[in-house]
Amino acid sequence: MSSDQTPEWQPEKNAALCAEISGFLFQHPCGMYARHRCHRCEKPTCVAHTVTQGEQTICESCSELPIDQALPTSSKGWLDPSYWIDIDVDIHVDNRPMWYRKKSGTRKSRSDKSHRQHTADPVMDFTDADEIGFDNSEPNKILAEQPDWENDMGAS
Amino acid sequence: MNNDVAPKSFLHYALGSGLGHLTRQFAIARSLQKQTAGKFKSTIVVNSEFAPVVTQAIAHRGSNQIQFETLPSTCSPTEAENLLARLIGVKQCACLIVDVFPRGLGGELSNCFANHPDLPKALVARNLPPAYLQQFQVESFVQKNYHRIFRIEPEAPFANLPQTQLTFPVVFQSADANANPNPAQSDQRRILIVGSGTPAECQALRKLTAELKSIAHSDNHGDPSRLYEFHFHGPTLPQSNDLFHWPLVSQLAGYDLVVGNAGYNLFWETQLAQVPAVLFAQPRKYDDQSIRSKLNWPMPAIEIFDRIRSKLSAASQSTGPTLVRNSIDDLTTSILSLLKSFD
Repeated sequence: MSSDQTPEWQPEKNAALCAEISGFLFQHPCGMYARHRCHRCEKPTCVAHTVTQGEQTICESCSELPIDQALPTSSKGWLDPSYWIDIDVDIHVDNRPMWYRKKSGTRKSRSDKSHRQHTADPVMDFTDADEIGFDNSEPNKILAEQPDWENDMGAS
Repeated sequence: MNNDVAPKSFLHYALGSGLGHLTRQFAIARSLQKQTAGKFKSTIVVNSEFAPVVTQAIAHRGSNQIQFETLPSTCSPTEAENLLARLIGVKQCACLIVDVFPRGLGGELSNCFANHPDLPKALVARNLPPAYLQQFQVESFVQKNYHRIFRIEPEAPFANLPQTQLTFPVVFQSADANANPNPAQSDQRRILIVGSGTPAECQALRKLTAELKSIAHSDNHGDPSRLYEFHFHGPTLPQSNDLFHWPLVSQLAGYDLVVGNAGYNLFWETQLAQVPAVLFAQPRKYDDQSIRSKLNWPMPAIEIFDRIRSKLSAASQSTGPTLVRNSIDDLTTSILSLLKSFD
């Protein structure tokens, strides 16, 4: 990790934000200010999502790949849709739907940590509105039962 | 209601339940007061069920420069629209600042804006459901009507609009936020359970406090080498022995850990104060709290207690400053520059 964490450090105006993907129900960029850039895939990363390997700083996602591999560095970077071959939806054993991506014929489960970077595709991914239809947890059941907007002056 | 005519006034539209909208707009009003040396007044329109409790709590902290106009929590969109129209005229409104809901909770702002196209308008944007944005074509409405949009979290919409700025987080700036009003003794660990959200959620957190106290005293689950002290803070029973400081941010530094709901303010206030937090994502019609916490409510008290111990243990080993800084002054500076552009 970085050795330049000083109490005086303040992000520059318009500083880049960490682009590492995180989140439990909804995958989203980290959002913290970036302090480093991954030597492999070049995406900006915050201190928490940066791993030091020798003299190089790489992102947490690339650190889980073999040393000679990295996320794609096309002109669109790690969000390049050409990286993703297919998307599939499967039903987990407890009937909760889980979706995952096929890469080079290899299926990865949602529990696979390297999979979480695969859900960042803005073109192929399900949206938050679709998640409500799949998720049977109590909070989202409540939301799913309230399809009417702008009818509650006491909402939040 | 206050019918005084003020020379110029910011009008803050902070409708919504709970304490979040009210607190954030008060924080913005206070920052504007500081930056303009009191040149403008601020009027904050609220309909929170906790508004009467807050106005009482801030009696010693507020000034006649910042005033509240309170609607009933069950008010209709028409009542809100009528009040807003009256205040825009009576208060010599210099700028309208809308919290989170671009069209109003009942769509009442669409009519109001049609009658005041030249009034400077700023939106403080938090995350909103994509389905709602799509159904009401909110982005188009925002682009047409708002002169400045402040996205106060990365998940907020409207990122592609030219008048948008990313300014996060935006929370109350307390002058004494770094002070420790309640220094712990020896190995004592002070845990604050914050009652927020709906009244029912506040009560549930108050009940949780009692359960955690009981667990901590149990020989099977307590750590004999440390004393856990639990305090409940909430607006439910201000006349009782419950703590209720408003705003809360000045008190956070005095605690080793905070337990509460994953609303915007508590999440970012604990981040800025570098106080570990165990926060629960509560269901909300418009706010996706799961972007701030993976924990759902309810959760057994014993499990919460274990999480508290784990967090305290992890916190004692971590080093390094927070990478986040309060951007509230950036937001208010931008509002003032917006006003200058209208002169």
